Amino acid sequence: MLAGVLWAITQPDRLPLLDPDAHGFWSLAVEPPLLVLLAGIFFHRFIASGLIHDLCGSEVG
Amino acid sequence: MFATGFLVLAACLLAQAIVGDEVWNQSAWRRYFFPGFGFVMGLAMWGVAVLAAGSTIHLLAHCAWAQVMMLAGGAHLGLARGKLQHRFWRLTMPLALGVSGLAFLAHEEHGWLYSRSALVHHICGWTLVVGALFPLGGAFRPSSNFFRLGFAATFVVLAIALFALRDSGPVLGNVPSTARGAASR
Repeated sequence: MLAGVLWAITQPDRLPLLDPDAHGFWSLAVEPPLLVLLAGIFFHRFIASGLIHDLCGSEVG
Repeated sequence: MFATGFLVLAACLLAQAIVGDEVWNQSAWRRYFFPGFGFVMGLAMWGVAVLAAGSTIHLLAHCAWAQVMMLAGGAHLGLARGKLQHRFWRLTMPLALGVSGLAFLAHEEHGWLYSRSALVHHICGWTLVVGALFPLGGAFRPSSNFFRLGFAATFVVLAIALFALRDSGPVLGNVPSTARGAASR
């Protein structure tokens, strides 16, 4: 998530949404820094949280 | 889109290598996620084959890629479920990576420095060919952290390379206009 945010801040030209008139559909549909951010959110929400819970459970057990 | 998929897969493989199979496999969702996601990406590759095929070699490369991704994903789903037992089914993963790498290299007709797109195709192709050695070693030594981390690192490099493909800025200095058009596709 942090990598996506930092990427968007350091290279705002990679976000075609900021200048929608200059880009076509696919450029607007695929925003690399936002996709990295989404990948991080997905991993945190669906993988990491359950994994940490199971890891703590196995260490306690 | 595929770069995002590879990034998620890389994060999962890294996490699995760090926590170990015992903890990772406690959740059925996690156990089936990697092979299932690979299978779905193989299905999606048929769409790319149909929509982005600029030539016969492009079509053949993407179709071969889609088939081996589905084969590896399906075989690893069977292994995760326990329906497949023989360890040789694990060889479908190095097969998938090797064929995918060769497909990348075969359908890129230009040299390394012709354009950003050509550079990314060569990087992805060789990354996959070399990266196939990690699951190959992992098939015979499943507990080796070296092979597991190498396999995960392969997907990290792939994700970075594919994200770079989306960049419309010049990377090689004087990029030909035709190449710039190909890179921005």
